[in-house]
Amino acid sequence: MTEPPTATAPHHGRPGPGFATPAAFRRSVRALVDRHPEVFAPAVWDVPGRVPPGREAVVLLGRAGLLAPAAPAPAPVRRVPPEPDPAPSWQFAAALHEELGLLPAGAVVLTQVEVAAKLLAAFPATAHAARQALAGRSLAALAVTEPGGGLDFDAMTTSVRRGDEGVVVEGEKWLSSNAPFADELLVLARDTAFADSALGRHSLVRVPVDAPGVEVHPLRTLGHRGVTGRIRLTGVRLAPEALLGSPGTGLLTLMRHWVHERVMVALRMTAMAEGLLALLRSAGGPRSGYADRAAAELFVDIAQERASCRRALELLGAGGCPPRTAAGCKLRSADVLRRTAEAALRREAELASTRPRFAGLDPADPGLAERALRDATGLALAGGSDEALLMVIARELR
Amino acid sequence: MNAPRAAAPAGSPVDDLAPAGLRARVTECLRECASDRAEPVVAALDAAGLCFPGLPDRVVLAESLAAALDFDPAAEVLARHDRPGAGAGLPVAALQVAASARLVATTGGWLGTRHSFGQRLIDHQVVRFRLAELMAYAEGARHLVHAATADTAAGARGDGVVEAARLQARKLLRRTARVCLHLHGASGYVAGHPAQRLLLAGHRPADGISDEQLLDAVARHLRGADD
Repeated sequence: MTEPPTATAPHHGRPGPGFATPAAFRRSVRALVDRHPEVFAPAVWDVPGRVPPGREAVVLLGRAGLLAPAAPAPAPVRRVPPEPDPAPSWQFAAALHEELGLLPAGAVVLTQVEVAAKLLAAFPATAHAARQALAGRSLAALAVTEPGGGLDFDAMTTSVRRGDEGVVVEGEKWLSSNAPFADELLVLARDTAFADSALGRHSLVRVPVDAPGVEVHPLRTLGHRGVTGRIRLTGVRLAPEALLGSPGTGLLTLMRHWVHERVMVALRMTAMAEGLLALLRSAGGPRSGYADRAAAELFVDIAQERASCRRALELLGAGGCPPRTAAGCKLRSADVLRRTAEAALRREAELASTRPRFAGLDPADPGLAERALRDATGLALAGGSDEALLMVIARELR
Repeated sequence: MNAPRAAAPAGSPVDDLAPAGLRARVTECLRECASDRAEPVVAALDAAGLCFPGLPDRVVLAESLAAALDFDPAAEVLARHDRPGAGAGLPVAALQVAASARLVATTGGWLGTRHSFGQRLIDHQVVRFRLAELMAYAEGARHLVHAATADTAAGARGDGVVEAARLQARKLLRRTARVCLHLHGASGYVAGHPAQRLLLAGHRPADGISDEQLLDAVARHLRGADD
């Protein structure tokens, strides 16, 4: 399944082949997706009883060198002033996630690049693992949420303790994106060695899914079917090197990471809304009579989120996106995607009632509008619910 | 009299396009002027030799005015520097967004001084969430106004984003004024309060164009993109 790299030029020392421009990169992503309908076509996802081809999607894109350009270039070893980057990595990340827009594979790719590889790249000891993730050779999933609680970390029950020759992890996680096809899990756990620490009581642990005591099952969910998992960790014994970064600082690492993740999820939601609006307006032909003002209302909100995501990406690239900006992007884009998906569903019903041969907004993907609404609901929870985001923004209030 | 254009990235896309240090100089001029009326401010800006030939310059002026003056005098000063052409409504949109953000901040401060049910009003979660939502939408609208300004300054025309930015700004102003007036309770309803003045200003478009006309302009751009 190895694809020949479609690169044109090396690009600022990033791993993998380079692309001269984000537009060239975007074309390569589109070409690969078109060549592999057996992996990317929506019809092969969301099939009851079948694990969707998430792993295959990551492997194809990674091996074709189409994940690495979206990752930031490694910091220069020597203290030399960096040359201005004509096409910074965030432009490639935006191109990748926008191009995958309404495809179900987009969520899996976003998790692999912006969550798994991004977290692994944050530590020198796992830089190689990050490169492997971007090359599509290994998949990882972040496991934070538990059946008993989300972002209330004091209520977390999964623990890591020191054993005779390493560490032992125990507990249960769920709603972990990509867990059903991951090779390893990045688990946030209460660290018993830091139970009394005022600074940090949680550690991140790398857990191979084939370690004894690890069970992963797909979780039945409203959207992103087959993509999220439930994880049971029963006395999982690991080497001391399994601890990711400094013990006790796992939560701090994730706090920084969530700023990035929230912007990227917002970018995906905005791209989905934009794709839906285009279909919504074109469905039924040019004179189908979709209310111009209704489309314009949605366009205005989507334009705002596009501008906001771009600004947040620029700030991320410069290393200084405030948490409230990331939270605001995600809060608003979730709302606009929900409203666009609801409008798409209403439009489908309207056209179906008046046109006997109407086959959906996208005849090649009849379930698109409903799936968008279901997935939008899940994306609105990823990286924190609306209320969690409002709490982040409200920290600015004294 | 303005300094050369900024070469290095600064705080926002608009600051990058405006003369270096323009925002700081306008802010300083307004501080020294210390007037809440339009005429003295116009005179002070003239005396300082500050001019605003570019669209980004006028957006910077609008945001600076919003931080120092009430909405109506700020709009009056801005009108003196009005120039026709692409993106002409964007400085007013910037003023509306910045005035909204200022009202949220002053409302938050006021709520920190009032108490109900044994705690400060600002510490009630429902109050915090209402203000946080306004803050999020103010920031989004500011990004849109800045992006539309940067695109227009770069020569982009006719994609509907300018009209989108104008529409978002006035919707934000009305929503912010409505919520903040409500959070102020009776005092927000009393004549002369900034919240009720902004509520009225939001329903009285300075440029004489209705929301529906702006929506129709966006719709025309969308139809044009289809052709």
